[in-house]
Amino acid sequence: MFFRIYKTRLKCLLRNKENIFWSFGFPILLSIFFYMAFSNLSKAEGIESIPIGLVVEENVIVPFKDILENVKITEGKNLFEVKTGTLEEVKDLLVREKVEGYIVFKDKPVLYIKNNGFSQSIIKTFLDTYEQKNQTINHIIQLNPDIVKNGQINLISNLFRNFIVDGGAKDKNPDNILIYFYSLIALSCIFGANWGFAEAVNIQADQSNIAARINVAPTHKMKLLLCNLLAAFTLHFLSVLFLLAFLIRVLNVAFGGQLNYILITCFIGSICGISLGAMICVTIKANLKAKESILTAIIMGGGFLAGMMSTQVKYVVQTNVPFIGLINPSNLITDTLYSLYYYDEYHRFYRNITLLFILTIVFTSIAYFKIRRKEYASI
Amino acid sequence: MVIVDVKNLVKRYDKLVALDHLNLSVEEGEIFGLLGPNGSGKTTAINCILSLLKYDKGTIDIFGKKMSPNAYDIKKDIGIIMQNVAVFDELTVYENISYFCSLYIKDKSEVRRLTQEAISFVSLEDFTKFHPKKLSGGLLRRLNIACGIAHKPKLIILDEPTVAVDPQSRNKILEGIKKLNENGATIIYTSHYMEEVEQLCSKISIIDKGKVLATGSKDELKAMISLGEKITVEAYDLNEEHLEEMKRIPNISSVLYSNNTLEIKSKKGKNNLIHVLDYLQKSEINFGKIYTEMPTLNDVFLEITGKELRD
Repeated sequence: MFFRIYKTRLKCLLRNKENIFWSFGFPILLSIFFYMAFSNLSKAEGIESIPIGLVVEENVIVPFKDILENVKITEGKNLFEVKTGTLEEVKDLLVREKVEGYIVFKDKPVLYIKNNGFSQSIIKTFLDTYEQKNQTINHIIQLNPDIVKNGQINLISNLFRNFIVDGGAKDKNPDNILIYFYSLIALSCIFGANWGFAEAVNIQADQSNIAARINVAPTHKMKLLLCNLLAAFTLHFLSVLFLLAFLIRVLNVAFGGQLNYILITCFIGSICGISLGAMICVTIKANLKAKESILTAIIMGGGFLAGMMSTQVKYVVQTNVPFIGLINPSNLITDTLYSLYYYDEYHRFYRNITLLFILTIVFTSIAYFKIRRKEYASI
Repeated sequence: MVIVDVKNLVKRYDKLVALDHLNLSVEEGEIFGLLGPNGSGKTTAINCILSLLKYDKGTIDIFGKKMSPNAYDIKKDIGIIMQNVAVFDELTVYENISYFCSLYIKDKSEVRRLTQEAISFVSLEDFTKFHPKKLSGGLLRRLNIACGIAHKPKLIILDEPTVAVDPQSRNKILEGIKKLNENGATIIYTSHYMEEVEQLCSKISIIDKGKVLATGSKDELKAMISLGEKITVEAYDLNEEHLEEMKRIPNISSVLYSNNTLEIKSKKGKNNLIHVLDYLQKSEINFGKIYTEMPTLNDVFLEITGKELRD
């Protein structure tokens, strides 16, 4: 019976042309649009050294300055063009836009910027990584003070030198355009919300006539819901795989050779999308049309905040309201894909996947507790 | 044996009382009609009986057991045909019937057999591969019925199944319901079309504002009211004096005259028509066509509630 219901539901979904278009066709069209709009831009946008100010009033900054000056984009090309001076001097440089930002180093480096942008994102990411690695080294020294005597500390400090070249995705320059494709994949995963929404409608007697009929049948409601959601997930995940294949094979979008991790991200992202749709359907008290509109607003809003329309937005959110970024599935998926492309280490990947997983559990639990009721106050 | 027993059912939507201590008793083998105007509480009562709606007070027993959302042993013997068509647009006629049947029957070959039988029953053999959107309103209603009865339920609930259906399809549906009843199913039929209920149902409850106003066979219901018959006469040149004199004829309760049509209502009694004809002849009034009608369920409803069923 389970398989029969699953099969029938799959058939229903496959024949729903509107859903098929939005899941399979729309992301492909959007990817072609992005490709046509940004491919030339991407070629033109070779990364240049970033002019940066450094306040030199404190003696302790010497090793840090050394690190800054030795970070390479490629062999022979420095990531930062460091301009040192007093606080007033570097402030003046920033005002005149001769530098993208300046760093004051007290206990730790603090970045001051005038505008948000790609260069500022790189500086901030570098400083975050510096801070993280600095703490790691201090921790190692505390545990093994002998390594300082043995000179091994020099090996560790080399960690800072290869920030882009070794810490990034092997021979690849940071590509600002990729974030559009990543957020498109994220959007595609979150489009699963439409499927989850439809399944929640089809199981609640107060939402549709079909659901009322189904609720009268002697079949357990959660069993039916599980069949339906599984069918929705099958098709939805296929649509995401289809998009990935199109991006990789047809548009030659680089994913840093981490396909397995990308598939895991899309897998959890798709489940998260479906559960989000189901949750919105059951929690919002409004008519069906209004609920659909709210869902669309949430999906598109999430995509916007994840940087689909402008990469700056993602940065602004991350800087000013990081919590929003952490509860926005689109942002988490985009960020995960981005981290897979740029970093060899998986700390950020695991953090984002864990957050996505938690969000999925939360969405699913809310949807479950609402859907499991069997009698309704009104129909 | 009582198949459905509803006692003191109360359902409130905030301050609005949708069902007000409703009592219904449906015997095995009956076609039970629930007759009432739109908004009278028929569908609410059905939804409560099916455990779709929470109710505030009362008890509902079906097949002698308490009905609840988890009462799967009761649900497996119930078929429901909703007021609105409830089928999947993406599935064909065959697939829709088969799907809903499979929610009740586990055996695959049995589902296949029952689906074919349901298709034959509603005469949709030529449309099995059609999608619902390609079907006319009448055919769609028949598909809706097939989806509700394919698993051969013992109790079938039809909630206004003929709304917006052409007369030909309506007749087919009504014939089908009779056939289902002849095959042993107990039927609850809600409608605001009194002609259908009168034609179909062996027992009728008249419901308004969530209350049962009267219950009985159609003859029993008609016997409850004072109206004996309605006499309609095509008459010419009547004046006020004539009308006043006619009101004084024994058993005549009301006289209306407009557009050369005289409508006389009489209470139960003998020779009412003869008395009227005598008066017309004596008064040398020219008259043409004349006919009488026995009271309808609408008259019953009108006398009980003071308003027409279709108000």
